[in-house]
Amino acid sequence: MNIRTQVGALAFTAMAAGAGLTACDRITDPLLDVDTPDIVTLDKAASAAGAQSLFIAAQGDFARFIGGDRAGSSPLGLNLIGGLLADELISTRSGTEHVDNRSVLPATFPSNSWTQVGVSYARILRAIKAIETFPPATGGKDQLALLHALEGMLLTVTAETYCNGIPLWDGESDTDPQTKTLSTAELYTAAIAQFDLAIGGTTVANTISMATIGKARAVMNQATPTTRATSFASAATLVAGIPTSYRFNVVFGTSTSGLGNAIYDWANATKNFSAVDKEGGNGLDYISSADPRVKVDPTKVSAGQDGTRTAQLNQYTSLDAPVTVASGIESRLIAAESQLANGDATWIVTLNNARATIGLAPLTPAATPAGQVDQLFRERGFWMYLTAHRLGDMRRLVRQYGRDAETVYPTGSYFKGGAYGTDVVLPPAQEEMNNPNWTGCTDKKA
Amino acid sequence: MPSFKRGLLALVLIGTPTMLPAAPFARDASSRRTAATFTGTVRGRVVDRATNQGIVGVQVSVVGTTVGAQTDNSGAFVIRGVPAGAQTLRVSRLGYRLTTAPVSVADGGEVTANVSLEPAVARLDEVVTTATGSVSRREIGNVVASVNADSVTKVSPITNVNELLQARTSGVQVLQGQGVIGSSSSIRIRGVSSLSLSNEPLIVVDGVRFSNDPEPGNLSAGVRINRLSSLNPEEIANVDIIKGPSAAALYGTAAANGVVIIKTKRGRMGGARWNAFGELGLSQLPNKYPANFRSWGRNRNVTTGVIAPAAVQCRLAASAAGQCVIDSLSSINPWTSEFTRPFANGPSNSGGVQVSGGTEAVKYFVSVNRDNEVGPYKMPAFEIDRLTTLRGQAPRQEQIRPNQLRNTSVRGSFSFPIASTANLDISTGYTDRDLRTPFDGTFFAGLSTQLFTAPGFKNATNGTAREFVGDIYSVQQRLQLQRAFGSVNANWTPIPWLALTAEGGIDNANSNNSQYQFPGEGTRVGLAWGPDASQNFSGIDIARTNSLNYTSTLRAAGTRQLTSTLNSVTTTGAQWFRSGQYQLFGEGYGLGVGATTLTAAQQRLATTNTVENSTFGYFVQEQLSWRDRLYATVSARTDLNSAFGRSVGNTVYPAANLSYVISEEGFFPKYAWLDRVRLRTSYGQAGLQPGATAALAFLQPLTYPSLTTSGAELPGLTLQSLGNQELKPEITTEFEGGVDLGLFKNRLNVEITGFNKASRDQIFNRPLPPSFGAGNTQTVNIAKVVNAGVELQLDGSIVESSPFTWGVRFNGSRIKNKLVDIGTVTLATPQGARNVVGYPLFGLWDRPYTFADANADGIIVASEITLAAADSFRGPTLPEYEAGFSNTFGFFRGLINVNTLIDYRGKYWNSYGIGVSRCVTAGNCPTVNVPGSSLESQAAAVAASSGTLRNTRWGIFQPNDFIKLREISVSANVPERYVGRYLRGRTAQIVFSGRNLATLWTKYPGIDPEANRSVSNLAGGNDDLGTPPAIRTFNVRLNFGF
Repeated sequence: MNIRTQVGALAFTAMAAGAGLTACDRITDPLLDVDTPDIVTLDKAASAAGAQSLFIAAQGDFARFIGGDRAGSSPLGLNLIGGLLADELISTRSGTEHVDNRSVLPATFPSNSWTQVGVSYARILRAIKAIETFPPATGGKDQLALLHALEGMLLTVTAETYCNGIPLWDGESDTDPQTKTLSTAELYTAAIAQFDLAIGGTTVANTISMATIGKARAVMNQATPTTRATSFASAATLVAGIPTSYRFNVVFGTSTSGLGNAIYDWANATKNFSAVDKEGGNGLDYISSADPRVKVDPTKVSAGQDGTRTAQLNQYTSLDAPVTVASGIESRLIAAESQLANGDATWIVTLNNARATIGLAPLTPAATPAGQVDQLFRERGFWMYLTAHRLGDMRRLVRQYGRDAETVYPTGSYFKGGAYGTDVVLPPAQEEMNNPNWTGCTDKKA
Repeated sequence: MPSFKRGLLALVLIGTPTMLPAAPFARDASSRRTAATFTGTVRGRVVDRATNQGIVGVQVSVVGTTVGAQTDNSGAFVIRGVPAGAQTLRVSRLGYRLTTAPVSVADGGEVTANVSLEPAVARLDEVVTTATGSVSRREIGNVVASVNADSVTKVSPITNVNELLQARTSGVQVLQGQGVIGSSSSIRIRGVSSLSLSNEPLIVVDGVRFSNDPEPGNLSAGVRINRLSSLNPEEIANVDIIKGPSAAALYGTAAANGVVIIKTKRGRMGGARWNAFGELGLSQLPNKYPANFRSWGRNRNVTTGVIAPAAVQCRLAASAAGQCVIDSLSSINPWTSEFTRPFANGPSNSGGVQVSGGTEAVKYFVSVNRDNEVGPYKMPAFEIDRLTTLRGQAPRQEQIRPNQLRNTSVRGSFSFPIASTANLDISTGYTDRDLRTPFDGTFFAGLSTQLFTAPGFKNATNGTAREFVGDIYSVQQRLQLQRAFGSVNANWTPIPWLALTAEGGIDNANSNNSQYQFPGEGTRVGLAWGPDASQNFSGIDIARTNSLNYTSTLRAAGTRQLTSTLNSVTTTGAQWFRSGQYQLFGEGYGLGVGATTLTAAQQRLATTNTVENSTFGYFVQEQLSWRDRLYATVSARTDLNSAFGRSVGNTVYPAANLSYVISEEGFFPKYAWLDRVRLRTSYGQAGLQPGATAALAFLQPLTYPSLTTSGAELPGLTLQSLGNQELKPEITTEFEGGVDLGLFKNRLNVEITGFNKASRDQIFNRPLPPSFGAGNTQTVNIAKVVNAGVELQLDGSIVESSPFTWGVRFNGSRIKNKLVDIGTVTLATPQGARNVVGYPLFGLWDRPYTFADANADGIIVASEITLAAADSFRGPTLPEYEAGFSNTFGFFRGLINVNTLIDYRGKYWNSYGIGVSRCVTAGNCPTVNVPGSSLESQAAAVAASSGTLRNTRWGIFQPNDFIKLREISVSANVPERYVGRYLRGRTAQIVFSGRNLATLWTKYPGIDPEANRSVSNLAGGNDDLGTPPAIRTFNVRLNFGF
């Protein structure tokens, strides 16, 4: 090859390189184009159909918030995690369960329960915004009312479970989210506002009943030792018209990966958690009482995951077993507590009428006022076993009835060794420390 | 035009003039032809100076050109197209000293040049592979570790590529996988850099990227399986390891953790040479497993003192607290009991045939290999009998032997000229792999947990926690993998000084992962891994994945002799890489009798997953060499990747290195004992890309049950990711410096290297405050990690006498790792492995304590333990020190050879999950049951059990240092004259070998200091829970060449 050809080849190479550099985008764009079929970009959700999808997801996430998810790294519902901290369940999984023995560490398993609080709340708010912006042809108001009711119930159960001063999304920006910190009192106030929106925004009886019971529940929680009587009376008035047979359930599925009844999955099936009798000396006699409202079979005893032998828990018997969030029975219990707080002796009649619906023998009132309060809360504990009510009740016993926490919560020697701690509420998970707008719980009192 | 493009264009244009021919070539200004067009042929033979035998595989090249050849089986070579005139041949081969030879080439003529090479341990003149092609080791300023795979596999019991690399090179740590046949290890080169991304190096096979991803959809509980396991080490010629960004810059994004470059065997000119081998082996799990204990007693009412009648477990601490009264002790060892022992020796056999040869028209290499291995897991005879009675027929063979591997691999490579100045290499490989693994991991119903947490007495399941061993082994896990890998490499030298290369390849793997148990089989008590009682304890999970990766590279290299002493090589190129993974996952629970597929399941679920990623980059490199002893190289690569944020453009990875063989200078003092000194230094950057969708904000579609429409499951959308438009690759910058010494007539070679590797803009999955309700994490570039250390490599020929030879290799390193910065993120503080600024990644942390037996009763209770005020750092989980020491002894002129390999790791810690399981959870270890147990152990167990002591595991964590006898092999070669006369062959050799033979020393009290379930591409930490120890193997192998 002669020198001219060589120089020509070099010049060509240099020009080709230069052309390649300048023509980069035209070359690189198709080379870097990839498919991402598993995700949906944000623009696709900005429509009426998208709003309906967000509405569906908000309902599912609320169910997950209350009743948890399938085994694995999915969150445990507040009915399970609350039951662990209270006296409804013990941990029979390997290792020490810090929630169960009331010595919660910031990074304790399962932090995903707190994650679900934030996720569920944010998804309800997004669904509300989406339906307000892209309403369906019909039924939009009913959907909004349901969402408001779910939001109210979420705020109430969160306030019952977590410490004073927790962060929640302020509902403004999706891409740069910020939070506001809400005290327990503010959570109940916000919950009541949501319940009112729900009650006034629909004619669907199911939603109205659930919101009404939720509002009464929040009102009950707002009471102080001195306002107990009047607050409870207000609550009782609210729920007076709810039929005893009424139930509002959250539902689960079997075909969706990641949405199943967590208590069934973790306690009935794998025995990571188990029913317990008189936990820590103060717990209720869930097993030995043989009460039909708590479905535990003491004749079927087997080892939990850690080898601890416990009775079979049958409260939820399948992955799609629903969890009752609000019920007519709860309404009767609210009424009975109001009657007791206001000196009305018919409180025991109200309890016995409820018991009669399932053939339970009537109760005789305890001899002392404290004993009567114990009777009432025992009834609440058995009627609403593993429905995310018991922890809130224990806190009210301490906060509203002046009981010492160590006479209400499990205490003393822990069955895996060592002793119970002194926690009475749950804190948000460790990951929340990355929130610049939140500096920790204001307090962790009952 | 962006500045980086201007810079690259300038670099190309600067490099271009160096490619212009030097003026003196033009002999006659009026002639239309120049001297460069006059060419001739050089033939010759390269022989060993000592034996006068021809040497195969010698690289013979013409200095200042790109023409060259490799010797054939007889040592002969032919180089065509050599420019006429006075030329210099450069002759190099591993194990021999670099030699040059002058030759005069006539136009159109042929000249013969025979060269003899002197053996040397010197590695300086070995050829290693880099991103720009093959170069001599002396030319590059960074250290490249090499393993001659062909030699190693013949005499060592190597079953996969990870074992090939283990303990043979400094700075390369191979973290053992689980003790299961077919499991994979993890490779760490110069420490751990990434918090959230993979820390595995890039693997390149024959110029094409080879996926070492974890097996997608892996359903083998507790077993780590990486795709590198499917590459047969018998097919590998050699492995070069580029340890850091100072050398890996031209591999761009994905090379920050180093690059492992694998070249498979190729054909050579000469008659067909056959090599066959047959091997028989045995695998075993010989470790001592602990017995389980239970201290029995009766509960005591602490108030009244009344003793209850029922027998209960009464641990030492409980008895000391007066809660119960001990009256007896029981013990059982499920690992050795006839009812439950899960292990038995596993036989294996393998065989293979390879043929290579060639003519000038084509060179070929063909290989066929078949492995059949049975792991050391076996259902005990008692369980076989029990299940036979229960089921009415014996358990299936794959249940009796739940760990089996069948592997067939075929490879063919062909090289042929397509023109006088062009050749084409085609290499194809196919692997068919069928792996079965036992049900284990951290599943409660898995083997390890069931036996480690079992009570210390013979219960209804004969001494396990809840499951019969036969039922555990009846849960079947299987991986069926078919993998095809092909590469094409075309080289064209249109002009003697310009070499053009086009490389392309495809890596296609189809896998079928499954985990299943049929009705009436498998674990039953509790939801073991999926199906429950309502589903008849039967079900099947299947993950079918197709992985498709493409690599294509174009490269041009111009070589010119600028002056009589100055040479230039300019290389420029572009590369495109695309990966795709397409998965279908199905789950079916509730199978009817006889049903074995998803179709027959009562409940079915299906999901799909697609991940695609593309990288496009181009690079340029300029190397100047002076007098073949001083080399200076600068280079840059720029990449675009589909995973980068929209506002991120190209990323540029610069590099520079210097290599100076200073001992060849006249001014360098001469000593009889000092043969060679080379100084080297290098700098470079490489990257690691984020996950495919990490930069995107997106919603995720899922179905949810409706609260308003009973029984309906409806499609919903949830915000899953905030995305990050600014997301860019994490960049690792490395400085490296070192010296290579040849001593005592090159009988001892020493390489000393220091390095500092800093990773900035580390991709980190920042935990989002859950209250944001926007997914758990957001991927950001925020962290900085530094790895710094020293590496030492010694290769020595200690004794070189006729009856006896002794060679040694020592490689060692010290690597310190530190998380330097994490921005404003608050990191989680879990018990055990956590990341803390100023400390090594994934270090062990917890709350220290002190203790004292206040009442001198020999029992520690919680009140006798005092907790410190804050958590402290216990130690790193990645070894700070590692070393390998191998000896090769030759007897009777190499007729008998003995090789040993010793492996050391030091200064690191293990979470000792087995200790927690036994002493804290199950309470079956002697510490908490047997009076007289050490107070220190008791304090550790009590502290970990007590909520008031924060369940601290400070005392549970254990130092993990060890020295292991990794391999021994004894090989006997039949003298060639007998092989030829009686066997009509060329070579015959019998090898006896063993691997993972013994732990010579360790501080670790657990089963095996290498057992680590945390080994994975992504995670860090060191915990032996649910992980069987390394398998010991013995093999006898016959190699035959003809």
